[in-house]
Amino acid sequence: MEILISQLFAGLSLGSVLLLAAVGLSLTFGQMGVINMAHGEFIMAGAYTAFTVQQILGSAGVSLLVSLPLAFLVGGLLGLILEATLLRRMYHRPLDTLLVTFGVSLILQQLARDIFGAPSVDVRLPELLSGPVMIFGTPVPASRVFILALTVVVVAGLSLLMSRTSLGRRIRAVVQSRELAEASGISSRRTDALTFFVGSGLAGVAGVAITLIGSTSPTLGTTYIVDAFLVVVAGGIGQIRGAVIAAAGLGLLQVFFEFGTTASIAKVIVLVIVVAFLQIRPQGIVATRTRGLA
Amino acid sequence: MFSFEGVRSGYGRTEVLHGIDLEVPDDGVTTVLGHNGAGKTTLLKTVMGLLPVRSGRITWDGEDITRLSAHQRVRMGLAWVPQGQKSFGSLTTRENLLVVAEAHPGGKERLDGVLDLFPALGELMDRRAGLLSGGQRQQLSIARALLTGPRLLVLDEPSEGIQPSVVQEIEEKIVGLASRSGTQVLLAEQKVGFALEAADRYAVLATGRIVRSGLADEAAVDAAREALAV
Repeated sequence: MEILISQLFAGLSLGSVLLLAAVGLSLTFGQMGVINMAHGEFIMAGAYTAFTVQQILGSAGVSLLVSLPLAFLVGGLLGLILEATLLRRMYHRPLDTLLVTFGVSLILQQLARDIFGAPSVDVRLPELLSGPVMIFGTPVPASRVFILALTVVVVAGLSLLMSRTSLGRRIRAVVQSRELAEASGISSRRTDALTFFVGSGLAGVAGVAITLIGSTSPTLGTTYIVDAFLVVVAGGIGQIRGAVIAAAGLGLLQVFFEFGTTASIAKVIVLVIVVAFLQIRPQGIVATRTRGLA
Repeated sequence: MFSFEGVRSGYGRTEVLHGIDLEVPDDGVTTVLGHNGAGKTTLLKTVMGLLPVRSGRITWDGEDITRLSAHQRVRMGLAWVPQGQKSFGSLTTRENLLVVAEAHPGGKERLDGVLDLFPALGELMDRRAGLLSGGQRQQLSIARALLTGPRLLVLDEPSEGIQPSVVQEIEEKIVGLASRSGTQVLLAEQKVGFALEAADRYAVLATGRIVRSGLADEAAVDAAREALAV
C-alpha cells in the first residue's frame, strides 16, 4: 500500500511538473497556434531568475517568494520581445516560426552559458521544503508537494483568467475569429502580445518550480520542451482541461512503467502509447476548434 | 459622408473590385445590390479594413482612412454585421456582448438599450452562441455591432438564411435605428424587394463595378432589377 501511494504521488508530482511546463504552451501553441521552440528557454530563464535572486537576497524562503512573480515578468518580457520582433510577422507560417524559435532557443542557451557558465548551478531549498511530509503515512518530498500546490494555483488562475476576465474573453474571441474580433473593435495584435506575455510568463514560473527538484543549466529547457508539447497535443490543442488530464496520465504512466523497468524504457513505452493514442484520436483527449486548426 | 474613390481590392492576386466610386451620405440607408459573386462582401470587407486597398482611397468626413486597421475604423464609428450570422460560437451570448462592450467606451452602458431592442437575447444569455438559431445569431450579431456605438452600420446580407418573419423584424429594426438615432446604414443584399423597402439610396454592383445607382424610389425597383438582369 505504501509503495502504491508513493508511486501514485510520484506520478502526480511528475505530472504537475509537466503540466507547469506545458500550461504556458497551452496558451501560445494551443490557443495561438504558434510553435515556440524557445518556450523551454523561457523556463530556463525563470530558473536562472530564481538562482540570481537567491544570490542577491541570500534567504532561500524569501528569494523563492520574490522569484515567482519576477520569473513571470522575465519570461513574459522575453515572450513579448519575441512576439513583437519576429513572430508577429509569421502567424499562419508554422514551419517558419518553428525554425526561427529554434534559432532563438540556441541563442538564449548560449547567452545563458556566457552569463552563468556551462556547468549547472543549484538553487538552495527553503528549510520548510527540505524534508519530507507524511501523506497517508508515506513520506514524500515537501518540495514536490509545493510544486503540486503551485500547479493547482497556476492552472486555477489561468482557468479563471480565461473564463472570467475581460482579457480571457478577448483571447478566446481572437482565437475563435481574428477577423470578427478586429471588426468588433478588438485589437488582435495587442491581444496576441498579451497572450504571449502570459503564456511565456507561466514558463518562467515553471522554471522557478523546477529549480526545487533539480539543477539549473543552459540546456534545462530542452529537457522539458518535448514533454510540454506532448502534454498539449495529447490533451487536445487549446484545452487546459485536456492538458491537466494528459499531464497526470503521462506522469503516472512514466512512473508506473519505471517501477518495473528503467526510466529510458518507461519513456519509450509512454511515447509509443501517446503515438498510438494520437493515431486513434488525433484531436487529443479534449477536442476544440482553434485558429491553428481552423 | 463616407466615400470610395476609385477603390480596387481583392483576395491574394485576384482583384475583385475594379475601381469603385461610391458615396454613403450622413443619414438613411444605402443599399448595395448584386448577385452572388458580384463583390458585395468584398466591398464591405474593404469598407471595414479587413481587405487591403490596392489603389484608390476611402475617406470618412474628409479624413483618409484607407490605411487604418479594422479595429481603428470600428473605434471611429464603423460597425460590421457579417454575412452568415457569424458569432464567437464557443462564447456565450453574454460573453459575445461583453467582449465587445468592454472594448468600447460606454459599451457597458449601451447593453441595456441593446437588450431592449432584442429582448429574445436576454433569455439566452448563458447559451453558447454556436447553439443559437440563425435568427437569434443574427440578432446577436446586430446587437454586438450596436454596442460599439456606431455612426455607420455595415450589414452584409442580413436576410440570408433567415425565416421571412424574422427578416421583416430585422428590417424594421434597421430602418427604425437609421431614422431614430441618425445612424448611417450601408446594406449589401441580393433580395431586391427587402433591400429597396429598407433603403433611401441604392447602387447595383456587377462583377466588381457599380453599374447603376440612385434614389430608392418606386422606379428604382425596376431599374435595379434591369441592371441585375444584365
